[in-house]
Amino acid sequence: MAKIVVVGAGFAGHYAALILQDALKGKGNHEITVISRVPKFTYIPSLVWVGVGQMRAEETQFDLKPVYDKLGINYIHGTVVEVHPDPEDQYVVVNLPDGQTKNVKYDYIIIATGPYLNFPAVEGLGPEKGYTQSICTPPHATEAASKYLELVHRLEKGERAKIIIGTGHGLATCQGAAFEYICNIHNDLVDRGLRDRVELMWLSNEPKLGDFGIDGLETKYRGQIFTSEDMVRYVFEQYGIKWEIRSHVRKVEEGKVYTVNLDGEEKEFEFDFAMLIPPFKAQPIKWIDKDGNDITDKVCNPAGFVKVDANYGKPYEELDGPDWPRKYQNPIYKNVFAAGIAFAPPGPLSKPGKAPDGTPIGPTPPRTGYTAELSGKAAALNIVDMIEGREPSHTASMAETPGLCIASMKNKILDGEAATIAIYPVARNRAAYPEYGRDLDNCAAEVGMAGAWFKLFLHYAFLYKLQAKPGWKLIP
Amino acid sequence: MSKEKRDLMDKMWRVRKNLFVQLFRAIVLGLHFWKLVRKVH
Repeated sequence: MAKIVVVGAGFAGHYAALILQDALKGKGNHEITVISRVPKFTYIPSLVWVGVGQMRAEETQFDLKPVYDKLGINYIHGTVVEVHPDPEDQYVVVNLPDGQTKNVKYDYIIIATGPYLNFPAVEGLGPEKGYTQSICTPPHATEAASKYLELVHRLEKGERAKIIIGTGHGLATCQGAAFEYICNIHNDLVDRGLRDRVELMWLSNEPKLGDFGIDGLETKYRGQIFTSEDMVRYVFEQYGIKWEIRSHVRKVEEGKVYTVNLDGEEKEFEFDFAMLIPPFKAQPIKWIDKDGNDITDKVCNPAGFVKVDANYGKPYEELDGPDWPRKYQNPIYKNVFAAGIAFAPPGPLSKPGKAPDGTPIGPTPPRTGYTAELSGKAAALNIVDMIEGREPSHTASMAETPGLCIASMKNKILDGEAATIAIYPVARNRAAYPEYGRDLDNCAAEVGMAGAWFKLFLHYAFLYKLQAKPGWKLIP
Repeated sequence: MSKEKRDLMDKMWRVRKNLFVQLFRAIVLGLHFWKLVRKVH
């Protein structure tokens, strides 16, 4: 009998638990335990609508325990603070909500904790101790909606306002979520007849417009090569959105954001409402060896993300598809896997840069949504391989799997629009596709109502699938 | 952006809310997504 612990219940962790349960069903008395500090699953892609006040946070969530009870998976509501990975006695230490701690033994473990939202990295950033909003969690998105609707109320009385949306740090990621938010805000203001009273600005760390942390994308259409830069520039021109890119946020004060860009220019922008995505770091988990030594530096990268089977240490210019992890297995502790945001990438997908004062500015690679799910699935099936005495054989490299993204711009059935984006593969792989690093015959990007339908369909399809309702395995 | 590209972008923008065009695009894009998803599942 094997004990498998999954730490985290987001896209990667929760899906890994479902795959494990399904693959090990009827194959012995194996024990699967999910430990999560949040008792609900949140379909994060829909938080953009929560942040505009068009959806309630509860509509993006479901309780995890009933799903796990139905499937025979153990669930512990708590926060993992330590992992003891040495073979003699492998366990995790969990802080429970009532203040107690609990040790949970494991034979195999998947770390899928998602990100720690590092608001303290920038003075004045974030909704709790700062002056900006976030749509990264349900409470944040709900608060963002409340502040936005307060502003709408003021606009209705005739006031004018400045709104800034984008990234709040030189190394932030998830530009796609911020892009969705600024487009939804624009269209919401248009529908309310208030758009002409608002100056809307995109502020980001991207080296070029439409980079999205994935080094942008190219697509072929009628003999032309379109880039995501062409498309985002076009959309922003249509929407009347100004932009300021290649920028790191140095500090935020009430109503003012201070930036420095790659040319070393220091700028200030006033705002009445700002939503800036924070940088991510790993959830604070210590790795302790059998002698009680802290070996976190050995198992994780400096940001705390768990090292897996990637080629680390290469400069950006030399990094290529084969350097990205395939099996998500830790090279030191073979029974440790990491998936989703929690695995350490070998480097950025977008070109990194530095301001003249040395401030790093360049998106870190996104590993969310579908990519997270695929890495969780590969990790889960590799554990099944090991339990059954085989070498891990399942792969889901970001340089061999597609990126599928629907960026909502307006959420309406008969008047909506969204950018439908497909790239293959996510990480450029020049070893396989020398010209662009991607197979352009499999890349697509277009704006239209069809995307809005897809986005809404995916919301319901994923919430259905991830509750393991009848036929859930048919939804890929 | 070249004139040819801008013209094509203008065309995509004009039909982005045309129900018939979008029904067709939903089928085309849905099949494309399905093809990519099948590569990894």
